[in-house]
Amino acid sequence: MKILLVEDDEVLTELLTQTLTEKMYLVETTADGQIGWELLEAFQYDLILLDVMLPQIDGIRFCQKLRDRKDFTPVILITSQDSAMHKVAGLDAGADDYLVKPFNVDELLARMRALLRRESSDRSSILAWEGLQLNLSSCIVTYNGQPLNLTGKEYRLLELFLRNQQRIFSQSALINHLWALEEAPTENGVRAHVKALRRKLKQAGCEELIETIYGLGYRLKVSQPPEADCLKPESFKPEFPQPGSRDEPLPAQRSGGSGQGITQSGLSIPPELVEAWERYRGEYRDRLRVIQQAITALAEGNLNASLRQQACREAHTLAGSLGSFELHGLSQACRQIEAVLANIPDSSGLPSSETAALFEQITAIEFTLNIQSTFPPFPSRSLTAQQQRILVVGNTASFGPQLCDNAIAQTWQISILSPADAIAAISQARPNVVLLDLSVVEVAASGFELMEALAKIQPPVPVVVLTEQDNFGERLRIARLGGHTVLQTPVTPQRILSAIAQALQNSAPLEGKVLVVDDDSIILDQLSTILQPWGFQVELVNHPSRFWPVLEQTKPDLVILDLVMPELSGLDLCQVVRNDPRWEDLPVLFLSVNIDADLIYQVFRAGANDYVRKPIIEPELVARIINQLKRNKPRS
Amino acid sequence: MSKRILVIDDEGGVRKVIQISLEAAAGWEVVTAASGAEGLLKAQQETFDAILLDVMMPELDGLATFDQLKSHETTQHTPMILLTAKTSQYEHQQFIQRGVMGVITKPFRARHLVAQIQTILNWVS
Repeated sequence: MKILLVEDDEVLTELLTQTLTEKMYLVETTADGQIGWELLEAFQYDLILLDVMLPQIDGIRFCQKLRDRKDFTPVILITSQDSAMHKVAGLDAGADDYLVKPFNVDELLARMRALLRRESSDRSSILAWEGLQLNLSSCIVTYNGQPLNLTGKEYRLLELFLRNQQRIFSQSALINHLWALEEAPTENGVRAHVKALRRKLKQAGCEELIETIYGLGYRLKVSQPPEADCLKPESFKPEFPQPGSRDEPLPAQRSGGSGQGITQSGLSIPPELVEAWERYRGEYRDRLRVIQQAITALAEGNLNASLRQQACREAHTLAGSLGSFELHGLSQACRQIEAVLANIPDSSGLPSSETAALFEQITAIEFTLNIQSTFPPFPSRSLTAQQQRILVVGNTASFGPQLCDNAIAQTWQISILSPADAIAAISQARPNVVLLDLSVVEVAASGFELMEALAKIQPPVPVVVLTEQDNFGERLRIARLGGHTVLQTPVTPQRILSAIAQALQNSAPLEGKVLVVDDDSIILDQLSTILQPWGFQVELVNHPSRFWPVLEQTKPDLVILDLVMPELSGLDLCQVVRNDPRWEDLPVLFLSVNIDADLIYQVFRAGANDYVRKPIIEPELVARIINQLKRNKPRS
Repeated sequence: MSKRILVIDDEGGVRKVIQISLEAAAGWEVVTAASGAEGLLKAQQETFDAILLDVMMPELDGLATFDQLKSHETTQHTPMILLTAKTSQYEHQQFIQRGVMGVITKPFRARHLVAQIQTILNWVS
């Protein structure tokens, strides 16, 4: 697993790097927030360890930026700031966990494993493939009980394949996942590591575990070879977003796969749309064949200008068409193919890795066009009533076109008003978000009056404030009128849209059923009092023996467990929950006065998602619960 | 209130998706045309509340079609929205300055199309 450590304390960096490397993590480090951000933009990481106080971009801002761009790489903030306010700020910024320095390294490792388990489809601490077992805690690999002596690189290679069974990794993808920036090998180097791993596995009796997919890369061998004509889409997961990935479910999966009489979540899919997809799919396959011919010719070094132009056109058309059918991952792949084909240097071809990547993309598109696919749900007329109301107060000249094009794609309903009209409007209907541009002279004077009026509305209306002023006094005045987002102008339209989206998300009514198990009735009362006003539905259980039937009956979204209870401990309950595949995704949060590091370590080993210490600090507890619920939401 | 929309796009799949999504989500009546020439003809024969127009079409492309619609007495006041893969704000601004009411970037999300059109044309109640 590849870890990005952004920490400006050299001693701690060295200590953590050494410990994490011993635990077979690949660690890249930097002491500077900006450089960390650039690394993140260039490479893929499995987890980020982030100091809060950093030069250039601090940890909180770093986290916000990360989540703003919809990057959900797990983040653990590490800091010496121990106050509840700082913890809440960190968690609200999108961090998954928060550790206060000095911390126990074993606790950090346990928290990292808990987060990485959550990201993985395999939630146990042992990855297995037939007789092969890789223990993530001890870093020991065995085959039929016999230990294998692997190098760090071989271990990470095997871990990557075991974590992503059935996924094909090109050589460049392996480099991206497993090598640090400064030590990136050639493709021959990758081949040598794969060969060495295969040899060691073979010596142990585990033959042909990793197979080569010609022109694409490597993957873990499929146990039972698929029938020749039914390569299932779920058995193929290329690197870019595509139907079937967690970002973009397959049309067949979204619709139930039959293509007939489809409904999902109460939304009907018009049968004409299914017919349209069936009707045009053949045409799209023909277009794809032209692109395939061009890439084959490119690989063979004889791509002529005419075929190249034709393939570019077909890729362009396919990008638009597949996007219209909500196949956005494939649409994006077509755009990439178009860009690559349009920019090939005349004198030379492409490196073989890039040609292989093109074939990989083509194969993924082909699979989707060949499988029995139907269409995603469509909104019915009544759904347009669920539009979010955005009240814009000020001048939209600088960002108006983008607001109208991109923002409305989110089904936002926008009204542009003067401050006086806005005060009248909010008394009639509550907006979901207000965008207030104080940089406009005529708004600046009365903008604060509007904010005062908004502050009286319950629940509070979030306000995104644009201001030219970069002084603390103005920020303080805005802050005193509520927890709003302040953006200093000039600011990009994308940043404004992102702030509005974030404000909408933060102000969305909380939903969630929380099951609390504690033998202390005072704590149960306290939790009920704290959580219900936030919109949570709270189910209280005062004895662990009653836990299982209530769990089965209420089907909660999150469970809070006391650690020490009569007869059965919270650890026992957590392990029972984790042993049942139906509940493997259920967030479990422990609540205890205990601060013993070994015990906390056991809690995370048992499968806990978080550990909160008593006495309960309301904002911290609520922030942690919200964070867990948000993380556990299906990503769309 | 029900609207009549003319969709001009040479790509059959896209035409169909737009038609179905506007009909299903808003109950609007949609008429389609597979080329600029066919679009011009239908726009003269019938009345529409708005025209959605693909930019990249063979022969008579979207902008040429737009110019002809704008120059004709019966269609010059019909609001028109361009569909384009171009994402540059500068280019979008150029289209707006030319008289287009708005631009929808391809690939669009079909489920958001109604809201996009409503907002561009200020049809949101």
